[in-house]
Amino acid sequence: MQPLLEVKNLKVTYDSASGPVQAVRDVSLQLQRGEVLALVGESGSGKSALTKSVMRLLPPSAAVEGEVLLNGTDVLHMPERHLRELRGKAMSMIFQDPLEVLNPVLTVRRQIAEAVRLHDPQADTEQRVRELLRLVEIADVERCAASLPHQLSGGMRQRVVLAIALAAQPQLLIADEPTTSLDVTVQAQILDLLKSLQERLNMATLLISHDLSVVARLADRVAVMYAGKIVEIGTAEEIFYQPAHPYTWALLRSLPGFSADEEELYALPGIPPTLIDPPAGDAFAPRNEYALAIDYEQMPPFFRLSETHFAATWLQDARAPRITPPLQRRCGE
Amino acid sequence: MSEALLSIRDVHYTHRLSGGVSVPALRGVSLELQPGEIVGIVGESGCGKSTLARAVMGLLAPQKGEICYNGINVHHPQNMAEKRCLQQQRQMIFQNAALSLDPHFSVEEIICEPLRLAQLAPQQGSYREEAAYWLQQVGLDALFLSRRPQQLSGGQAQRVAIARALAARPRLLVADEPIAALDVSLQAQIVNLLRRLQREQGFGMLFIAHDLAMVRHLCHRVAVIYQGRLVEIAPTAELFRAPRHGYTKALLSAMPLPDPRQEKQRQPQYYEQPVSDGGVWHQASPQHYWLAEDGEVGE
Ligand SMILES: Nc1ncnc2c1ncn2[C@@H]1O[C@H](COP(=O)(O)OP(=O)(O)OP(=O)(O)O)[C@@H](O)[C@H]1O
Ligand SMILES: Nc1ncnc2c1ncn2[C@@H]1O[C@H](COP(=O)(O)OP(=O)(O)O)[C@@H](O)[C@H]1O
Ligand SMILES: [Mg+2]
Ligand SMILES: [Mg+2]
Repeated sequence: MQPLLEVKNLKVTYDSASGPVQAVRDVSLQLQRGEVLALVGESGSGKSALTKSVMRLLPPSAAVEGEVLLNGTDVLHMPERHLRELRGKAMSMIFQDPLEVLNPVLTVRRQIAEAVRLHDPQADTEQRVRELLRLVEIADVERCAASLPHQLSGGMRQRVVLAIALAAQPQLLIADEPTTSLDVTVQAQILDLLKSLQERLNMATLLISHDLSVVARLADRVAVMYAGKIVEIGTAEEIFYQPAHPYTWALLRSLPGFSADEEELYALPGIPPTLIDPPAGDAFAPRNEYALAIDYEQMPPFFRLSETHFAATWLQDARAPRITPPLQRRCGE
Repeated sequence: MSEALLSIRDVHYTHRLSGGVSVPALRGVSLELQPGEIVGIVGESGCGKSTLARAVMGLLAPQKGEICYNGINVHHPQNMAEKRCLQQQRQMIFQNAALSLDPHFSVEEIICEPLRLAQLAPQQGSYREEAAYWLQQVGLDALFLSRRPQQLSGGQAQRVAIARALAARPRLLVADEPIAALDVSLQAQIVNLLRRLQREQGFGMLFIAHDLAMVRHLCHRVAVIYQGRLVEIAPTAELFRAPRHGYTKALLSAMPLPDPRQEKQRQPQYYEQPVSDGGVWHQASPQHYWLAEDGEVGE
């Protein structure tokens, strides 16, 4: 089956005063319809640069190489005039804080109607607005439509933002930290809503989140990024229960235990590479307590651990020593 | 009891918008912060946490109520000395740090600005070295000194804002969701840093956050805000062990798990009751207070 989204050997380089910044270094991935892929990983590792390339939202100071195919159509070389269509119909983006997206002095009805009209000037907007509000499982549609954003709870507001994002019936939803500003009671509901919408509408979702419990709840597959590269990719269960890359171990180790009263939380030592002139070998080597000599010289290839699970670490090489992952609390136990 | 570092008394704030729209954000919040104390503030999105933070910094003036820092009314300092004291000793990390950084300045200038304003000498030799030192503390290479905010990732901008606030050596730090935009290893690094500096320097901190596990790890007391009202406040361990208010209970029951099998099945409680302007405060233990609606029986 042709994937909905296919990224092939993507490279993004920003121009900066101190030299070119290699924000994305040869990333490839595929996303099927009906699937949620989460991008997690280091701050500054290129997650936003990757999604901005897919949306064609990079600033002029960025150079892009590689391929981005949506339904087999080349996105990177699409003429400007098709971009509005692409961003509206093919993909839609939701952001962190619903209050920043919504206009505080316009009713919900007007804001959704505007989105509907933008994508389909012929539509019966009144009816579409009601449909969309029902779609995001708002019980009292009329009251919600007549409200101003602040008259709604945080969760309701995020539903309204979703309704706006869905106005154009996108095939791909890009959610960059969609629930960071929600409290945990509401967060779970919004995530479940996202999940059910995505199944009903047969959309695909690219989720960026630092919150590993959000990822655990929503993602079918997870890609872990470090220094402009995907270092491990697999199903959610593979990444959480059988992580294979030392950077993934470090992430899982940094979570505060829920009952443990540890003094100091585990954090990776050292600081990440700047991506200006990244090292020849594995960029993670200097911070990796399990680094092998070869890590400093040669970039590890992807080792295949299962049909769906790949990790770029020399530890998976047949000649490497066997290491027990340093996880105090194994997930799922 | 020693004199409070920060005292917030019955603060009301309503955002007034064009077209006569008014948005009540704080409806009578009172809270005290002792020197050297970290109080966590939790609550749903839009409940008024950021509004409270901005009021404490004097960035918006409550229509009713009073906020004092070290006995100085933050909205009406009496003289230049008080004004300077407010400016030098309080720092804030904004929720959307990327937007709070001036795009015309380099990272170095941004970090050193509060120090220069306060005419504080750099502790690391030069201002540049001072900025580099703080960058390193938040996990950024010195190469970032010459970058501008728009050339940073979300988490990098967030860390520059943290570096700027800490470099100014505050006595009161107001941190509005300072770590939500960071990867978990960096979250741990920043929380360790805040905790260490707080112990060394003894500053007080309001720590606004959604991540209950981090709040539990870092804070001495936790205040729960719901629909613009403080509904419960208690020492951290006590709040997590014996929450009283319905919203707090729902919140704690909803603590998410970084585990796909468990998390995909978990059904959190949800709390939706409105909170009135009335209500009665109950004391559950010496430092543990919660707000009950009129007629609701205290357990
Ligand atoms: N306009 C720019 N000019 C130069 N470098 C940039 C620019 N924008 C981003 N970068 C750099 O590109 C790299 C990747 O940035 P990106 O925004 O994709 O990170 P991210 O993975 O989304 O991180 P975060 O989790 O912190 O948001 C970072 O090292 C960042 O400093
Ligand atoms: N600049 C503003 N203009 C209008 N309303 C605002 C503004 N900032 C916040 N509000 C409103 O005030 C209430 C509290 O918001 P805020 O303090 O940002 O909440 P929190 O930080 O807890 O998410 C919300 O209803 C919000 O819509
Ligand atoms: Mg980003
Ligand atoms: Mg806020």
